[in-house]
Amino acid sequence: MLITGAHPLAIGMANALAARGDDVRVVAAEPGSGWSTDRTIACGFASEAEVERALAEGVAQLGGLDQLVHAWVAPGLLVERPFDEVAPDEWITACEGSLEGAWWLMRHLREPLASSGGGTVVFVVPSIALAGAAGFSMLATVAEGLRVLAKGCGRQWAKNAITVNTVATAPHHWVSDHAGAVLTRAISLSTPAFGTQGDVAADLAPLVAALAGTDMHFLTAGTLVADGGLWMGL
Amino acid sequence: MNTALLAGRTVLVTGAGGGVGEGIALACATHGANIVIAARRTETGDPVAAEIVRRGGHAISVRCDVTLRADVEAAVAAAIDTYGGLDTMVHNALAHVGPPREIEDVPDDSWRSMMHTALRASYHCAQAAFAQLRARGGNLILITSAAGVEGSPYIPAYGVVKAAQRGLAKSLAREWGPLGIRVNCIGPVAMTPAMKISAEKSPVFTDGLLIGRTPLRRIGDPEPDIGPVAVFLASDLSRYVTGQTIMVDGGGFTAF
Repeated sequence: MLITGAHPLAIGMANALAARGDDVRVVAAEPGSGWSTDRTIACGFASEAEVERALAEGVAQLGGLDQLVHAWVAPGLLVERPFDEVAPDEWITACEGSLEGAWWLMRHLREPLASSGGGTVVFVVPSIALAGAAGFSMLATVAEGLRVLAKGCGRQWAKNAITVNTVATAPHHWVSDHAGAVLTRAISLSTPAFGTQGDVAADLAPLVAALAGTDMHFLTAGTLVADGGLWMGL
Repeated sequence: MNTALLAGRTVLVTGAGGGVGEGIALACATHGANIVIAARRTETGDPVAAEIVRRGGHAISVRCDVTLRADVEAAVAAAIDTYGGLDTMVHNALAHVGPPREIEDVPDDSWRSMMHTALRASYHCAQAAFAQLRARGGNLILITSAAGVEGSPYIPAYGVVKAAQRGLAKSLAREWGPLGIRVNCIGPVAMTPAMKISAEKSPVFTDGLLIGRTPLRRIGDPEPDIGPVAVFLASDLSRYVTGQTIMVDGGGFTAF
């Protein structure tokens, strides 16, 4: 299994899935806190060639690929920023760069998954993709784009026995606690139904693991909102 | 008293040299708006402005490549210089989406041109118009697509950029609502020049698949079918509507 990204959500997911017995490599510019260098494949998502090379290295290290969890976004997306203050280079690097990184990844992912007889792809995004977010317009823009990239690939790759789904998590897994609280209040009039926005290892990783299991083989292009019962727009 | 819905207001429409953009411009002009036709080629924009004037309306045409920030800023400046301000920015322009392809086969230039004309240009349009929209309680309208909700099995890059526009619109609606600015999307299906090309190349898609899933059994006409929804969103009739996507597609896409 490959997991992209080195922020706490991605690393928490990697550790939890490794603890369940999965052979995991993290694809990121540098090892995240709490994850070892020798299980990290360096990739800054700066070019299609770099992404292709990192993917190939990951497949080689793992001896094949069954699942990819895409949680990487450019770090610039995770900082609160009024839209009218977003500079052109920020927009291009953070917003367009995050979408392009995912686009490049998907252009080279089908073949190794199909070679393994099929597989699963899970995009992990904040649920502000669905709700929108003041101060995080670039993050929501990217998240919604990723969600529909998953749908497009889900449509095209079912014939290869590959499912592509999205897990939408609570905002606080992505942004500061203060910003997460503000966004939470904007998303819903109430607190999450479970009273918590979830623990990565206990609440979110099992969902990703379930999507990789054979029981979920008929679910593709779906969005599973796993924010503890906060956003309920569908 | 002038009862035209958009009397005295100024609407800038990108990609207004044909198709949906032209239809929106003509419809808004019919309802009294001053129109800024922003088109990459004046050969297409000028005739639309002339048609509006011929009908008794007010319009100018400006050359505008929406991928260039300076061009978009100049178009907004033209609206201010000519009509004293800008009330509604409609970003409709989009590069040709190309034929159906698997994601691995999408050429780089196709991906980039869609990304730049749909998404980067949304950034340009929103920022360039922001001061005017805030000062005048205006609104931003982004033209998106059902593919931006349900994904596209044929042109995956198109779905990505149209979805990203929706994410941006929802966020700006939340961020700019307290400033009195509304932000919405329209998801049209219309017989545009690009659609006509597709229809000629692939009648199975347009006549069969597309119309087949459309309860109203026809592809929309830009001016009478799509334009009025833009008029609604640009007018005070929708003064309490923001952050929404209105699908104007004959009922083809019904799920939310």
